[in-house]
Amino acid sequence: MSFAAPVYLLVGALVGAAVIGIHFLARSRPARRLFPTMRFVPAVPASAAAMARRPSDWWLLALRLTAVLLIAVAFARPWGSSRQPVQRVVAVLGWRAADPAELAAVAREIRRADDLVLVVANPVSELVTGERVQPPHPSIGRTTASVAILAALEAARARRSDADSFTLTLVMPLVQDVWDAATPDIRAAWNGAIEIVSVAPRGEARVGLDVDVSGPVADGMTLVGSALDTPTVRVRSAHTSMEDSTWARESGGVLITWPADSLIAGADTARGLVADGVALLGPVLRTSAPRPGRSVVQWIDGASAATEQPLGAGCSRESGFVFPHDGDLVLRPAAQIVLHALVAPCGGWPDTRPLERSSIAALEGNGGAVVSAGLNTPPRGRIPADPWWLVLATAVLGVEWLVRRGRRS
Amino acid sequence: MSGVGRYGTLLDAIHGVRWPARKTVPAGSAGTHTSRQLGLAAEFTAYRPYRQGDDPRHLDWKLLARTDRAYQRISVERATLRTILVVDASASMDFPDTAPTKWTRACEVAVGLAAIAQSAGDPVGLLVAGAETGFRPRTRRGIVGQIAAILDGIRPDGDAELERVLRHLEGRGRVALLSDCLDEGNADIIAAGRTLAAAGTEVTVVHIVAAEELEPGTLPFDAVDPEATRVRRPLSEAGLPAYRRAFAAWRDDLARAWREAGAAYTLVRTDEPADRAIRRVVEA
Repeated sequence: MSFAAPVYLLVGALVGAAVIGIHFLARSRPARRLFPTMRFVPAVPASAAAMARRPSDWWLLALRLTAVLLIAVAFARPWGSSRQPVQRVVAVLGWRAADPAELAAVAREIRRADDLVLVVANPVSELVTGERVQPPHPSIGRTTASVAILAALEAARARRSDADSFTLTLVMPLVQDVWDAATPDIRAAWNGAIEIVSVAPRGEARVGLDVDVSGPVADGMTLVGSALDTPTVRVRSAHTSMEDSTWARESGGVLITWPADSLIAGADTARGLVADGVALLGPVLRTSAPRPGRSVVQWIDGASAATEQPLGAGCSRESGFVFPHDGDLVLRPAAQIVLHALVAPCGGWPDTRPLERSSIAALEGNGGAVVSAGLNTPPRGRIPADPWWLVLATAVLGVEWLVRRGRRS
Repeated sequence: MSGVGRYGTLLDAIHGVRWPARKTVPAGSAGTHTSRQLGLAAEFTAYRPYRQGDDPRHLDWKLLARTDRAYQRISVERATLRTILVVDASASMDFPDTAPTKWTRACEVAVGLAAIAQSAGDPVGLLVAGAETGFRPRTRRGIVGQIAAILDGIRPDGDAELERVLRHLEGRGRVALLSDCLDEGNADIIAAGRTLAAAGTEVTVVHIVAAEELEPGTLPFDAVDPEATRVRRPLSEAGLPAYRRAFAAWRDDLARAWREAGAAYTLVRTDEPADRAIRRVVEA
């Protein structure tokens, strides 16, 4: 048997020693005797403490020591003998720009038999129970180290009774995309060191196009992607089919809805677009406001010109602008940047710049394993003790009270 | 053994002891105590000049014939004295645990005094304070046995309320109070005794003290008042001298107070033979 907070056993031992010491202090009253002339006896203290050779009241001493021991055990919170000393949690970060197969391969390589393996892909984290580590599912969300740490914390808390302490290993690429504003605070919640197994980021994915529109945009698209057997982007005119939606939902691809040419006649002319911090100035035609969603391209006045909506494992993007048929606006470098943003994977192009050394050091942190008891932070106002042991201790104290009362009477 | 049989040895030991009144007694039926009234008994005492209105039958005719002066013959009358024995049956009298207790000694003294009074022809009554029992003074035979039977059937307990008992006594006579005098209202009891004495009653106080109260024996122990068991005080060797001093001072004060009230006070120890104690009481 091991204990979550063995320091309470030490506290209990000290209290027990004090109780024994008190029992050596014999404070006994002399025998009672009826004495009619008691009124002439001088009033002096009825008893005085003195050290005895043997402790007094063996029964009371035994009951009190038992109660102290039970209370100490209640606060020490014993665990069963099947607990592991240390449990490692391996969190595989299903980063969108990493090769899922490579992530799974690395995880399998470092995995030990008793590891707790989590495959974390925003918004879903999955606990791997079998031997084989499955590659992460395609994810439209941005999966950061924060998500992985939170998933690891949750898994460790759920299994805190199985191990004395936990260690965490993160399998992920060390790129800017895995770091977000909440990462430092969430990292602090894991009160120990984190081992990081770095996975190389996959290079920028090739954009496979399936363009079913005509006009300048079709020409511009050929400059940012190419037709592949397995397209990642479908560009359709105003009316998308059910097949297109199903494709995006299941494959994780990007379905772009481009305004029909018929809308050009009634379109306004705007002064320019902004995407990835680059402005395209020129007579871009504003057809209609896109549906609300993540803004992918903005008008120069700040309004959304193209938005992204999640669609199953993929997403759909709706453009509210078209390029004019006249001129070469679509061939300008700035227009290529706008189109590059439009064909980006769901969630946008990941930031693959290397993570700063300070950020890596902050992620790794200091210390050792996280103690299970530290994961089980009790809610405010609750006693961090095992209630059953406390119930037993209360029962023993009740017996002690009865014995003491019997002695008095 | 109940009745007078248990007291047989004691009664034999005090046979012939007299308990005379300390003062002249009121006129009454013929007894052994000197009466306040002078009469015409056969026992000559003195002459008194004849005064107008005196009964001429009491004239000493021979003296008148010899001296031609008219004198009356005066003699001392003897009368009986109503005696009431008031015995304290409060809880404190049931001490110590081993015989003789203060209660048994009080019973022996009471029976002995009753026998002495009864032998002198005095009416003897009994009041047991605390047991609310007793009877008015009587002269019939067997009164001593009746007193012994009543006392033997009582176990001291509770509070005696001696002051209330003394206040209810009426008429002249003799009252013998047998008590350990440990009642909380001692001053009121003495005041009641003073009232009785002022009214012409002869008050005799027999203060029963246990030898164990004078010498507590094995120490230390937690002294508990039998009439207020919640009050406890430890008595040890260190506190014994102070206890002795306080107890002795209280006894002296008590004896002085009773004597000043006009009572005859006698302290009787439980380890003292009862017959000797009775002799001291009647001589007080």
